[in-house]
Amino acid sequence: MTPESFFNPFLQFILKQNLHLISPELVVLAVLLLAIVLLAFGKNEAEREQSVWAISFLGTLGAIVTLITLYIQYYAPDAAALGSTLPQSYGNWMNQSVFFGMFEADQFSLFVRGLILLGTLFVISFSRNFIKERSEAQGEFYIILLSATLGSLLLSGARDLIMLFVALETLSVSSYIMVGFFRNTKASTEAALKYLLYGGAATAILLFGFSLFYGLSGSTDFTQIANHLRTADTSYPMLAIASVMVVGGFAFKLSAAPFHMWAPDVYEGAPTPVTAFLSVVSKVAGFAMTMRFLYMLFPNFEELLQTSALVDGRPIGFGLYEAVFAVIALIAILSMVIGNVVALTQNNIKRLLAYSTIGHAGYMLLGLLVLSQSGLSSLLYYLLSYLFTNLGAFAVIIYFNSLTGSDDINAYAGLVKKRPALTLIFTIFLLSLAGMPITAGFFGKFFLFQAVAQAGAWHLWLVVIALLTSTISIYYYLNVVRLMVIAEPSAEVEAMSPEPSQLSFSPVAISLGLCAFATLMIGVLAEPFLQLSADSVRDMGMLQMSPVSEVQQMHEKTKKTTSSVTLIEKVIAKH
Amino acid sequence: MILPEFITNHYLSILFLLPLLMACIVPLISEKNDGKYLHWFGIGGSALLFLYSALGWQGVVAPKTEQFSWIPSLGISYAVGSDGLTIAMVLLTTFLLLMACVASLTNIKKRLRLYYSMLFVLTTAVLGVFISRDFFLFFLSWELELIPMYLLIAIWGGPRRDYAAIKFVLYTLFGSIFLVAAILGIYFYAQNAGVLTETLFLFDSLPLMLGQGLPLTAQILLFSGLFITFAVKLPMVPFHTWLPDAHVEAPTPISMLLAGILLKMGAYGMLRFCFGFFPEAASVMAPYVALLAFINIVYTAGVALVQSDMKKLIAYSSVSHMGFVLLGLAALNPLGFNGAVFVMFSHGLVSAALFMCVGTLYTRTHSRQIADYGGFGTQTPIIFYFFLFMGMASLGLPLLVSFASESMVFYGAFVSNAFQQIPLGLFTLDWSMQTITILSALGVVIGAAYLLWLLKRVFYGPLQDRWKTLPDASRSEVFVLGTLAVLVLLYGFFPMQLTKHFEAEVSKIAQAYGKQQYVSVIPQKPCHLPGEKHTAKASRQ
Repeated sequence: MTPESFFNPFLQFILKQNLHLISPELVVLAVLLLAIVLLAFGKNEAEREQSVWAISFLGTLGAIVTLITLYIQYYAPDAAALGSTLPQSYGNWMNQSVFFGMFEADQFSLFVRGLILLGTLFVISFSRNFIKERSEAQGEFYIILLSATLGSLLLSGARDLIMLFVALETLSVSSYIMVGFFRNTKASTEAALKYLLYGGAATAILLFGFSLFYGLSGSTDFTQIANHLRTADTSYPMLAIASVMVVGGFAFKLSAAPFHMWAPDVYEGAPTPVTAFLSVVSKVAGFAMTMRFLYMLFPNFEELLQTSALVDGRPIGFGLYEAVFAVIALIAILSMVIGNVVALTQNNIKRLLAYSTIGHAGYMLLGLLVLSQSGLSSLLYYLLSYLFTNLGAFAVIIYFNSLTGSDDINAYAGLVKKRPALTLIFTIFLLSLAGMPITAGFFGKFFLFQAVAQAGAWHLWLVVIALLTSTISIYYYLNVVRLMVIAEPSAEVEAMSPEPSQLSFSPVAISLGLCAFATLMIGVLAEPFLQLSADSVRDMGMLQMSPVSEVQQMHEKTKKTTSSVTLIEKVIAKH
Repeated sequence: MILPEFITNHYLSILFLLPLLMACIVPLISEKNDGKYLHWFGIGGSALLFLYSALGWQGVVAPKTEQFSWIPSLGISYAVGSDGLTIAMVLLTTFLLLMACVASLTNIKKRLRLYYSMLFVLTTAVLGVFISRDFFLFFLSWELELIPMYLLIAIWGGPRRDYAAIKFVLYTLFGSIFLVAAILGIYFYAQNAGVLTETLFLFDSLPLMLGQGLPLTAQILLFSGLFITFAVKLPMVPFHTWLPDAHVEAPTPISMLLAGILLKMGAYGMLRFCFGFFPEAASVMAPYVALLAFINIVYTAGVALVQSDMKKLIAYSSVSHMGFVLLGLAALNPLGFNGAVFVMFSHGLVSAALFMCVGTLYTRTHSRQIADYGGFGTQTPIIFYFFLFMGMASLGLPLLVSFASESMVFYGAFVSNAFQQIPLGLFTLDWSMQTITILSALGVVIGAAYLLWLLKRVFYGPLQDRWKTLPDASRSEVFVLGTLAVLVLLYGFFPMQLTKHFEAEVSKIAQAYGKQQYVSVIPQKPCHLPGEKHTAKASRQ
């Protein structure tokens, strides 16, 4: 028996199930299991904990490498030349989906998974000293972090209500544990409890919304639900309620106002690397799922006009479309205003960033309002710039905390006297968050607002609100800069040792440098990133549903057979 | 002189990046010897920059337009170019930077590394505003200027510097909202018109796009948005309140730059964009611009009259004089436009010099209250001469540069036929351009009053005992004031030497307004009412 003939059945199985398309997830899963085994059966405890860090770091790096390989192999524009692209006949959409159409491994999910893995890699590198100094059980931390990452990764491609819910819960439950990881600290425990209670309620609402969708359409698959939405006019009020429930549940995950109450307390109480994870990785995953859900269920108006049956000259479902988007617009406005105005009064830097995150969620929700190619791709670009900027800012907070043990904004006063380089880097991040040139944040905001403004006249007013609130935001970002550069040194900074003469190469310092470099470069060299994000969402457009007549036929069928058992049987029989 | 081909080909990009390079070098220089090395680097660097920009001004190098695709998917390119208007502004910038660096010798004592880095970053941003030929690059430079200026005021400023600095930033950002809105509006219309090209934002292609069937209402909206942005920077009443604060708190060299260069960014933007890109909208809006110019000139001159703070008085006089730029622009004729640019230049020299004069007094007495002064004519005669000279220049004494520039504006405005009455919704104000011009001339009278009164109170009368040991102007101060005085005199005598550089370009912008400028001043039938786009078009045919 040759090795080839031995492996062939496995390869066949993998290729048939498209499992190679989720190889980054599989790598993370393998590392997760390995880490558990290592932690349970390793010899020396201290070494064990260290090796878990190393394994999770290398594993995430490995997942990124796998992801890049996957991209080059199948998705890159020149992959066609190599003859190894995915089958382009998107009529049969199963070609790039995994788990019988529950997970869509399109280029969009690839992009988002890249962001998630990159964010996780940075979080793992910040955590090393931070967790080591403060907790006994550092090995467990990385295991939970990896499982949260796994949840986020699966969330990026979920195109089925069940898949989405399972992935979301994986992420959420892991997040609750991570927030309360310092179980001897009051703040951390309190934050975890708060997060759990709020999160539980939000999940319940979300799940209720999901169940309504399932009950109305008889399917958990996004495509089926979407097809149903375009023919079902009778069930409109219930659909609107279901949609609003789901949007509310999503808004909780995105920490958008008025579902933002948990964010400041949780961000403040959680260990700082976890705060970074929540504000970046979890948010990216949240936006990915929201984008896919909304994009598939509520394609934009022009598409509605072309594909839906018309009643009184208006496409069916247009009222629903309007209602849902009015809700999102309201959430966006509230987030922008509350986030940026309340941030003005904060004294704790983590709380400040929590409110700033809420404000940013508002800007990004504007991108969601425009479910066009340009809207989605500029939102992806925004997420990219936001990732590096916010992670960098949190890295500075962690670094500063390791020097002084304080998160108070006033403690940053006069930092420039002791750590000029750190001050410069933090200033870059803050200015990027504020959207000043030439940072990534400036370009991200510009591209996003440009895409939103193109959508129509009343979108322009939303952009004007966004611009006004970002003018307010400059005040509190500059206030931190002012304290660091202009004010007299605080007691904490006075007590700080003078700058070490040689450069330190701790993981935090390296990731700080990388984030700062990326924040400056992504904006100036925006074109390739814009191209990449535009390519990523172009794929999503391919998921167009069948023409109206077929939809109606299908709808007739589903009316007859709404029992889930028969549906699952059908799906299995089909494949 | 033969320069390497690389420099002649990339003249403007080098000009753009040279100050940035210097800003990066500054932190490496030692702060020893009271920052002597840093001061000399600052002066040397800015002198180099000045000489380099003089190459373009004197025609040694013919600056080439450089352009390449930057973010083609959104129609953004990197494009820098130069014409007479740009190069005049660039030269003013680098010249005043040199003066400010020399003035820093006596005025700036602490944290020199940061100071000079920020000064050079600021220069990059300002130069970027003047030389960019792409709207996005312009916007980027426009915003880039904020943070260095914020720090320059907030670190080296006076007691209320925090307030003044953040006010400056918030006002300018508020103005920028309209700039962004205008840019987004252009995208919106470009998309609707189907002309979303890879080079949408080039100055060369924008007017084409805007000319293609953009409705007059949209043009007026875009015009107004841009106008507000630039009016905040200019500054124009009622958006002017940041300026006195910023000026009073800023250190002397920064006040010089603020008055000399930064305000010109607003004026430049107005001429280049509002009046250059939207001739139809500008014809409709001209009456209001003129009215605002009149209010600006007279109101702020009146406010200056009652100031007790010397620097605030000069700041208000600075705002008042920027009103002449508005007046010149509202004239919509080559003479008015040229006059406006000339005022920009002369105001840059004169108000910078006046701020320097106030600064030299302040470094000696640490007071800006006019009441604390008196009799300084005998104690500090050199400062007195220069202050008197610059005061005379500011109030428009013949044969000095302001006289030449302001009379050009007045002449341009007086012969203008831009409008005969000002429709104000409920009623129509029966003022023609001539009426406004005559009324605006009041500003000159009030200007003479507040300046002479200021000079009287500061330099005449009895000298307080505590000032009797004050030294007169130092060598570096004499150098700055002397250089400025020579230029004020020179361009007062030979205004052509200055105007010849930008005249062709500015007149080209004015061409869009047709031949209506040189017709007689006899009132004709009213035209250019808002909403009547046929009249605006018809009158030009």
